[in-house]
Amino acid sequence: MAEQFYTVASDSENTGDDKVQSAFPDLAIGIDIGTSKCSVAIWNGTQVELLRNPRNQKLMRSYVMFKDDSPSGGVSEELAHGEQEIFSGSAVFNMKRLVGRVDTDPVVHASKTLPFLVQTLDIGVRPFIAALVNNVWRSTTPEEVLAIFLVELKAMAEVQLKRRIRTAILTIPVSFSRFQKTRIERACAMAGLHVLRLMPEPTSVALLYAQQQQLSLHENMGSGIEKVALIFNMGAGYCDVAITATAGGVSQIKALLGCTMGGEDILQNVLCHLLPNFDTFCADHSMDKIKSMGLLRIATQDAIHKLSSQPSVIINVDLGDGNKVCKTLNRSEFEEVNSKLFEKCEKLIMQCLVDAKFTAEDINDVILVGGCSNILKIRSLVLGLCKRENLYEGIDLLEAAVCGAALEGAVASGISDPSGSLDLLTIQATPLSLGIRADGDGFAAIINRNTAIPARKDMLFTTAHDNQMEALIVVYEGEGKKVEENHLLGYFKITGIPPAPKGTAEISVCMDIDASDVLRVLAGVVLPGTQNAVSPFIEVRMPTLGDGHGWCAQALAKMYGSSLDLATIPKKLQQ
Amino acid sequence: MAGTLSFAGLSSCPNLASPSRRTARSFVAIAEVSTAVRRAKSLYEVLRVKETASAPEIKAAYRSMAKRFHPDVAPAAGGADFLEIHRAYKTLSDPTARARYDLSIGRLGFPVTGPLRSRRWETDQCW
Repeated sequence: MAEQFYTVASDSENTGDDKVQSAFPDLAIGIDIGTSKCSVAIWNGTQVELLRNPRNQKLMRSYVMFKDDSPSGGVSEELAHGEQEIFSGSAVFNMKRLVGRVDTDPVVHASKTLPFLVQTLDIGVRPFIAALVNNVWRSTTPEEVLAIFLVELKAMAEVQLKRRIRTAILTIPVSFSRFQKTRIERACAMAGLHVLRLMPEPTSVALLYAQQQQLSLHENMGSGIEKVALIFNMGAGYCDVAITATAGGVSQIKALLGCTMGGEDILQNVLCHLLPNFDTFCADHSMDKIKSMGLLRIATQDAIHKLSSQPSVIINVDLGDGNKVCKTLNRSEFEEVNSKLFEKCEKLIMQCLVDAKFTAEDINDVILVGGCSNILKIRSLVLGLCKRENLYEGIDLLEAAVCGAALEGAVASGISDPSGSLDLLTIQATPLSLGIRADGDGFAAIINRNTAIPARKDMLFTTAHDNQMEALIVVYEGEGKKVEENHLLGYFKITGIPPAPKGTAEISVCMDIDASDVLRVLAGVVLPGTQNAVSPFIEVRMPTLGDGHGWCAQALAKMYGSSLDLATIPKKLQQ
Repeated sequence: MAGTLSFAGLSSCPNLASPSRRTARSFVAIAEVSTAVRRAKSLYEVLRVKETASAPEIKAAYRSMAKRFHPDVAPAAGGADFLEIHRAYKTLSDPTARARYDLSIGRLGFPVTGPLRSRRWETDQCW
């Protein structure tokens, strides 16, 4: 990507600001790339400050408009693109829902109703995504769209901070696989940003909460009492839950859980309700249909927002060709249409409590963040499950994640604050279990989910056949008992196993996650009953796979069948 | 005792020191303490608490140790110390595991022999 130059504003109205900024030349910025909105924040020396674009917005719509030669995210433009223009097919948005997914993914299929083109061949490769430019569908990728947008955010920050920005902390959904994380890192690299850390959104909120607790304790001269908070975050694309135990500025993530479910799904459920043939309405992607669908989307979005403050709302849209949507949507109807989604929210929260080994009574504070937290039903269900009357106050539901990311940026950049407001630490946990394929198609977890990071664990495996000399280590991430339910991260082969009857050779597989969340898998043959390696171990940084990784597992099975399989060793024998 | 044993046993897997992302705040403190941790004999010594420490004391000790040794604040230490601290905490914060560990180190006055001693309870969380 060509080097970009930005004019540095010469009029220094705030010389004080300049001093603060130059004191931290490498301070990382915090970026929250939302499915629908984005924000940037930075530690300004005394507190976290959200940066504003020239239109004085702290939260900027995430999209990239493809027009003529230069795509633009509209971050720093004087005039914002209207919603109707964004829904015209020329803009690509919801990148966070599409990044790192293959065309068999149901989330990609659900995105086919968006105004830009999402084409799938259902063979497990990346989907084809295109924007309408001069009546031609021009192809792009989610990573490219993210990168274009990040370049604009970076430029905006550089102009305001009057220095180059090199590093950033980004917030991501809990449910992102390691493969999706590499895609985000790649988009950042394309934009010239080094990712210092990818923080799951609720853990970023947890850090902000830890700081607030720390500051309020200083005021009250209280002791380091542990406070447990449940954080529920639902934005336009994803839903996350985390439970954190906080004391003395240390936020320990006890459990976290997430799924791909958010405002976009709520919107689609309502659209389906209003227009029963909604799924096929736009299938031909004709200009007229895209336009009328855009109008319906705008009206429905608006209606959903209004339902948070009024009991019913009228939706009246002319779709052309004699099609008309004219309906009064009331709150109970809206809740009925989304009942499955709300049930799923409840399940997530209950599972997270079980994982953290807490009950509702242990929760001191309930924190609700994300755009969907304005929905009354979501508020009541979260409070109901936590047996609480009120939500935690003092956290902005749309700005919390980016503020936490900026705090982490300051902490990870080594900045310390004399007042102690950066005396913080988050002990992160792994959101998904990591393990290898063993016992046929079984998934043997080596690092379980919600293990504190950094983590290092090893486990012994054995051969599945007599005189087996080689074994495949196939690494997966996920919670399924069978490997096909999980994400494939990579594979490698162990050779030189001494010939022996099946079940006698010992193969040690060690998984190591360092503080920056890099996963390395080490494996090799050890002398039975000892930890001594027969020959040098193999160390592989994961994930190693690119697109179409589903195919790799099939190719391996076709080529080797079960001949290089591993088996777990019964627990009692693992001494 | 058992903890340090099995950690040394991991020598077949080379130590993966994460690349330091920033300059250490105070090299002196880290160097001094990391040698102390390596020489430590018991999980109680790793967390620097008394063997009679209460659960809240252990939790508080873990937090304050984390603040000094977590690779986010002490990248020069590479994270190995924190792993050890976390393992110690994991055992001592679980009443059953702590009781079992106390038995194995003979804290209650009657050292237990047999399979209990040879198992590396505090390091084996994967099965």
